[in-house]
Amino acid sequence: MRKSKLGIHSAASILLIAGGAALSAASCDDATGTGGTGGTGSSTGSMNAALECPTAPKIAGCDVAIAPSATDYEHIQTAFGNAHAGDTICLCPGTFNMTREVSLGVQNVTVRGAGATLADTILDYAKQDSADDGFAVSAGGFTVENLTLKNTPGNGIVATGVNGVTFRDLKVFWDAGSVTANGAYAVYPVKSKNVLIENVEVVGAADAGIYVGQCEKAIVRNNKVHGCVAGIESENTTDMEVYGNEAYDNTAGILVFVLPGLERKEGLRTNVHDNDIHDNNRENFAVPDTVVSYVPAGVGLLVLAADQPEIHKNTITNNESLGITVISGTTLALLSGNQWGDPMTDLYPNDVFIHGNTFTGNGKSPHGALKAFMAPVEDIVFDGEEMSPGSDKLCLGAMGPYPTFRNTLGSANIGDPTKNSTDTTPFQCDGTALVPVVLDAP
Amino acid sequence: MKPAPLLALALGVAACAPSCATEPPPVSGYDGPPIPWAYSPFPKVVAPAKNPTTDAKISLGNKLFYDPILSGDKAVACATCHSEIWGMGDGLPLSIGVDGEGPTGPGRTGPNKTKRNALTLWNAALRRELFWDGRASTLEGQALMPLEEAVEMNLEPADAAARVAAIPGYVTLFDAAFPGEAISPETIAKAIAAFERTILSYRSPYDHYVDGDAGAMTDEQLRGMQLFADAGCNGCHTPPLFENGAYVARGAGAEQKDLGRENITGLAGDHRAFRVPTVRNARESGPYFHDGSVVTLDEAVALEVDRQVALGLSPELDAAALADLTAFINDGLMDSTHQPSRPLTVPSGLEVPKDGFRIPR
Repeated sequence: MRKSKLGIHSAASILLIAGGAALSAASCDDATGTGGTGGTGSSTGSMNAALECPTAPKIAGCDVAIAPSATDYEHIQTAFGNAHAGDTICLCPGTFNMTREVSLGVQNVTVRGAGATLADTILDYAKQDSADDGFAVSAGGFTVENLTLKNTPGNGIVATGVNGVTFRDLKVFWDAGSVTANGAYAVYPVKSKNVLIENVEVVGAADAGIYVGQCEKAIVRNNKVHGCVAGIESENTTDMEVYGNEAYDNTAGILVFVLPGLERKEGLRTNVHDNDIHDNNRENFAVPDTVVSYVPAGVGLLVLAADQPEIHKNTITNNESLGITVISGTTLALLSGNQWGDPMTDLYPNDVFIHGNTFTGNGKSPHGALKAFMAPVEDIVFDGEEMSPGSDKLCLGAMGPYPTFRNTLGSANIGDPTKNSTDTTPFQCDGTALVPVVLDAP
Repeated sequence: MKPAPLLALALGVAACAPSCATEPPPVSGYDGPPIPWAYSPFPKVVAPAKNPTTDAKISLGNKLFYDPILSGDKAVACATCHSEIWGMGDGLPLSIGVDGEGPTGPGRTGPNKTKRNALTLWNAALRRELFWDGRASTLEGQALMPLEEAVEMNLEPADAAARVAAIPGYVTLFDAAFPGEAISPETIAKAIAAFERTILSYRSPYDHYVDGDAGAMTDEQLRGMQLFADAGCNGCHTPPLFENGAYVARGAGAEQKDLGRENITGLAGDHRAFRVPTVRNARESGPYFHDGSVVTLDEAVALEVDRQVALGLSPELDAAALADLTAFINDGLMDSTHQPSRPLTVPSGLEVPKDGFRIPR
């Protein structure tokens, strides 16, 4: 029953008019499978410039192979449109000049750069004259791996409402560096389940480099995120594990957020451990008035209104404002001048457990609103806002030693050290230790 | 408009009772994996003879669609209420027109509110009538009607044409699209219509499945497809368009005074009847129903199933079954491959309306 990969069915003919030609694909013999972890490796494979539709793709594991051409968008979109469930679509080494967002809605498809390293296959969106994202995915069981995306006017790769999505061995960046006109999010699963993001490097996202929004079960590990406003962000997401990542040279390293006004009203159990969070002192370059634009520079890790996060065994170094801060929606409202405005979303962080982290050289010269604190600012700053009735509280571990700590005893007391406390005694307790996130098989 | 033969076939269930139990005519020769209804191929789009589709018209129409030059306050474009980010609607229960504030999406506010929810433009090219009450019959005829509405774009089409004709960038694009013709409301409408004919959704997992890819839908979606038939959803949301061109009164917004289709036909049988919307890409086009009174797709599905049960047309469905049914609509019928491209700039030099894409979708 399965039709030919390149078979043209009646509906697809509409699409092929736009493409101007049948799918052109080429084999890339010299390229082999999966790839390394970044860097600047160059392609050794030279592609056959003559495009043709091979009866059988020659790369192992590829059902379809596409080489760069004069009409890259059309070729890739056509291949995505004609994909079958379970297909692996290989993008041959070289630079694909993308003029539009591509989208994929077929289950269980893998899109793979066919070069030796992720630097060999590049999707360059510099010529895209629209504000769209680079790559939109709306079907589950999706994997994208071993390639580079750059210069997307909107977000990089967006997966919306899918079950099972893997982003692996990718680099996403913008040639302009870290500027406001860059896309907001580079790797962007939203309203999805069973998300894996690993070995991804992001540079220059104008909001969060790796953003996991309104998801359930996500693992973010072994990534490198720098030059962004926020390095890694968990937002209204439940059961997320963030480990082995390096977040540096961002405005803020890692954000664990619950924000108002979203469909999913809670964010539970984000487990942030064994990350290297350092030198996040970049001036905020987000679009003004976006939530992330209110984050002061120099912040290692920020917990906002999230429940049951566990922050442990991280190395937090040389973030100029402070190491970790735990705040409620009332402090966000003060910083932004906006009301929380969503009675369905709890604005207090509950049951926060921070222990066993290593702090070095943080808080030496606070930025923005945090200038209200005197350097050196403590390693952990808590706004002390009353939590929801009956909820658990902030715990810094039952056993010391404890990092330096400031409790402002209310959002309104930020900036008035005489009304703050540095006493850890009420917080010397163990919170909820989280178990590793295990993703469900697709 | 004379419909294409295939279109007539797909929409061949013209006059159906509110229960809409009519089955589409079967098509022989289907050899794909099993489906719980007769197969009909996705219809072809046919442009009217007076406005054949060309690339030049499409690219001009794309610019016009996103250009707020077509509104009285020079801030509202077609895309303000028909955004690709919001399922070719706007994410609002009722749309906010001129003098509004904020990007397209639930945060937009303003004094001018429409009386009905913005209908999705997905597959509008394949509709025999347009609007919730079917008061327009061609895209060309529909395209400028929102301009004339005071609460929408609030600009006389003749004034719009004068504005556009004064912009050199448009003069070039019109020369390419309509050589020898003047820039007029008519050519503006033709260009927008040509562009709208490209906004087609026909490569969803369901479409791949019926094309022979038996693994294209998940088990959950396959169960949901069967339930879609068991609950009689396909009576009105009839494949392959998952709409049938009918107008039905299902009780949504009953407390309101909107007469719906009756306003157009004067027929008592059309009392408070509204067009059956497509459920393709419905995941992104909420809130739902003509008055936008239901926020989530889960709620909309549950409500409609309840009505089917009350009418004796569906068995009771438990929560798991409702989840499967919703998964079929949510994911099995989702394809935004051919979503329009939002230009970074438009010839007027005005700011392309913000679509709120930086707000998590």
